[in-house]
Amino acid sequence: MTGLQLPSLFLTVVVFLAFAGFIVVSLMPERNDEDRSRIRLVGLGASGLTLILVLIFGMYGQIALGQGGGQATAGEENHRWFTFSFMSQYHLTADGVSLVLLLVSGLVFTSVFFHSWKQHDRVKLYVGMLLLLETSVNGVLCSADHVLFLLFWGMQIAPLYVLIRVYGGVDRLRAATRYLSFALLSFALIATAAVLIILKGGQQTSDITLDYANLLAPVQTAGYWLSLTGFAIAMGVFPLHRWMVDSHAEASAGVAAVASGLLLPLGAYGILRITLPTFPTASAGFAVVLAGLAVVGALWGAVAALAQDDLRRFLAYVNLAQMSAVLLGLAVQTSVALVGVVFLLVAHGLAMTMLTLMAGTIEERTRTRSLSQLGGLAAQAPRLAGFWIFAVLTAVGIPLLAGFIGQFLLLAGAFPIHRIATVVVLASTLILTAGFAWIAHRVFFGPARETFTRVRDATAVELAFLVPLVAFVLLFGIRPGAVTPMVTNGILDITTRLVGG
Amino acid sequence: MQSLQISVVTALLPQILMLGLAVIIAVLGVLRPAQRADLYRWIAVIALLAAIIAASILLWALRGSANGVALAQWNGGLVVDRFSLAIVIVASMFALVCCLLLDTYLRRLGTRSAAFFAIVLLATAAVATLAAQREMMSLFAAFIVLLVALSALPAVLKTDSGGVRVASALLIEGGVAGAALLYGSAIIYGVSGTTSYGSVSAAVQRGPAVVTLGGAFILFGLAFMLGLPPLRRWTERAVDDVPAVPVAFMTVMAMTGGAAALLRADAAGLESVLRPTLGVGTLAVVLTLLLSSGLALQERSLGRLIVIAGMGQAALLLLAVIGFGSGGVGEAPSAMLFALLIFGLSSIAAFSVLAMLQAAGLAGTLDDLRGLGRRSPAAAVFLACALLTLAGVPPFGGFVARFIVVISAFDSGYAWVAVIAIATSAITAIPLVRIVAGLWAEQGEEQPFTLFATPRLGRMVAGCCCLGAFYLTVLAQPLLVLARGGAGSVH
Repeated sequence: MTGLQLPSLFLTVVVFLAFAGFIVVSLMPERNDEDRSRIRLVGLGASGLTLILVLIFGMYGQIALGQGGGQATAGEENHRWFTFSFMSQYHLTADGVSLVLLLVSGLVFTSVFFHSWKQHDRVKLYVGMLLLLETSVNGVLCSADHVLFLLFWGMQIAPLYVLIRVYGGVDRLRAATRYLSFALLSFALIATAAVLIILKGGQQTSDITLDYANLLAPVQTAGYWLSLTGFAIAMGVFPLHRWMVDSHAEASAGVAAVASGLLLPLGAYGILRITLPTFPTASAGFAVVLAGLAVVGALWGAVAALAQDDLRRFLAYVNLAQMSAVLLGLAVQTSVALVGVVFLLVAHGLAMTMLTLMAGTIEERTRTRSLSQLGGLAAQAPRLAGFWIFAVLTAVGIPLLAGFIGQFLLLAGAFPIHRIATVVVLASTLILTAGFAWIAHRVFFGPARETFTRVRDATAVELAFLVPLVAFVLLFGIRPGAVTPMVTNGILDITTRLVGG
Repeated sequence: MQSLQISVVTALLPQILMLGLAVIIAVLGVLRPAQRADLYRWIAVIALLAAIIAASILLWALRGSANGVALAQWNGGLVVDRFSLAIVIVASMFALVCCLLLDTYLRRLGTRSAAFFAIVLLATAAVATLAAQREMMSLFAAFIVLLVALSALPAVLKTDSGGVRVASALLIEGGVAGAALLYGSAIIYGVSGTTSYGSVSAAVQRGPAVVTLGGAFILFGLAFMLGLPPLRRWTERAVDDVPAVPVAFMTVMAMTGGAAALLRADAAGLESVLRPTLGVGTLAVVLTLLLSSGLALQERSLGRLIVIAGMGQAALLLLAVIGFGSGGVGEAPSAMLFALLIFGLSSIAAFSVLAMLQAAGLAGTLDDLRGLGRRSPAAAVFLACALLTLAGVPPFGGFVARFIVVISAFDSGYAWVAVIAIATSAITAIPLVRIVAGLWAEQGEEQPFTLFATPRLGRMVAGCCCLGAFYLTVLAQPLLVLARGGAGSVH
């Protein structure tokens, strides 16, 4: 033990601080610009405070989990919720994996709240729904009970649907409907898998952390496919990616940033936290299918991205390619690859948040997101161009940035097991890199367009969220050793259960 | 541990209180027709509160009882146990909430107010009796009393042809169901020579095919009361022609009575008769779930949508009963009671918001709701809570209720039906979530609407119901304890 002790309600506060913010925002009036600023401040305050708490928690976790603290989790709360034919608990826990993703969640939401200063219509609803989403995401990351997990997972559906439908682009209604249908399908599949686990797991409880390896083979297979399909829909991987492309392209930049940076990784987190350790035999048996899907998805995403003329649709296909790479890591199931998966999720979250928010900024300043109409923006907006290139380098995995360690560990872990798949995914990353370079050239370089001569560079508000994101990308890239032991500690439990199965 | 020894009057005190005060209200109404309508409402409220308190005290007194039975009278035909007392509490609570929500209609009721509230108490007492009977003639009698009471409500409420149409539809459909119930009882009596549930099972061997036919008739009759198709045209007519709160009372009381009677029949000895019909019951559950989700996708009226969602809820309640009847786990009755409580409250909450919209002159079509979040944020929040609870979307109470019913169905060997229940719940959620988003997303040709123009008490109760829908998730354990306590005696 480290001797350090956090308050017993620490995790509850981390999860529900955003919800408290939502209640406050709900009670605030929205009559004029002053009211709107106050609402944004409450949103930013709730999210920022959560981020600060997570940072404190992260430092504690780094000591407790990473530096020989000898603990399995950095914090835990466990209270009985209800007893039926099984016992369900209000069980929150944060291991190394959830802790780094909580940090990403805090960073993404804080950035999006800074970005919300660009939102002038129905600010209260916008901020309120984002706070509900943050509660849901943090709740999912901390849940250690299947019913509680489902509760938080399902909580994201209505707010995100409202956000896409109200604040989206021209085709938002279709995109929102498609999202809603797939999100409910995903939820139904995950719920069915949870019912199977609870009833057939023989534990008389819905605790996620328990070992369910004694599930019969047919139950394992059924549960695995239900759970995997549910989370794969949420990840937006091939062939279940159409909703993701549409909704991410049509949602407003802030909402798309949350969806790309957090909600897609949340699907991968679900597979990592529930599917793999609960159904170890089936996971091993069907790993090759996952690898196959990863290969097709990575190539499809990279090639389709190149074919886009819409900047946001390009980013949506980048999501598909990157989540496919993550899927390959999940197929491999070695501890090196899984640590790589976590780092890749972190890098993806940070990079895609920067790229999506900046794509929104570009659209706002130029009134277009068509690549054929954009060009030469670097002359007017050099800071924006710099940040864009930095985010691109993070996304493609350049050394000393967060993406590199993730790509490296994932590919190094995957190569001995799925050589061809690894090579193909690597090739897709190269195609994507070329695509990114081509897009950067088209948007920022080349001859300056007359229509864009008055385009403003990154403002103070934009710098306020871009600079911290850059700092954390560098931190993860330059000093991965500060985080790796903590993440490895979290992965250890998963790999132990995988090997046990 | 020993059984509690109490008198008939004490055991039936809740029903006696309700019926006694119903008579007083009726007599007062005849003697003083010009009396304020509000007076009768408050007498009814007092009667229902007294019934809840009496039932709670009896339930508390039964805490040490091994079998949970306070009284078994008339050769076991009438039994007051934890289950019947829990149903008294649940039904009285539903009726109480509906009475408090009735502000808007009190003025319209005028001199008919006494009759209206006397009928409300009579219907609640009939539901309580349905839970306490263990004999087919008592079942039929209570069924008919409840049917007549519910049919009389719209006729008393509205003097135009709309109320009469609803009453006629309910009487006709209920009459068919009542006839089926009577035929079924007669067939079983013909074979067994008894109408007592406890003695019927021995007769099954004498004529299994005939007994199965009788069981199917009984199931058909009770399925009507629960709210399953095909005999549920009356609900659609009621939504179109009768104000929202009375519709809430009618549908929720029918559902409560049907669920209580089914579980009682299943548990008290009729299971051997009903077991061969479980296949038909399961098919009815599946078809109802599919039908409700299909209809929900097309519906454009909020009231009808609530009724359609209620149809899906009724199917889930029947699923819990079937799980119990098939010899499944003992948690099925608890699941049914827990779900009944939450489904009933969510329906009332949704209808209460519809009532506020009606009071403000809105027709309740989906177009009327567009932009409600701008016109009246509080009303929009209430409606969102109610609809998301109806849909079973987390973190509202409807989610936990549905999850528990699904778990109990899985546990009872009805995994495939449970999977269909999950899938259809997801489909039904689509239109409901879309309405919720539409409250803020769209700006149609909006009529002005102020929540504060609606009666204060109704507003407060509706708000409590809607926000309570959220807290029911947190309060799952105490509610489950109550449900388990109530269900304990039907094992």
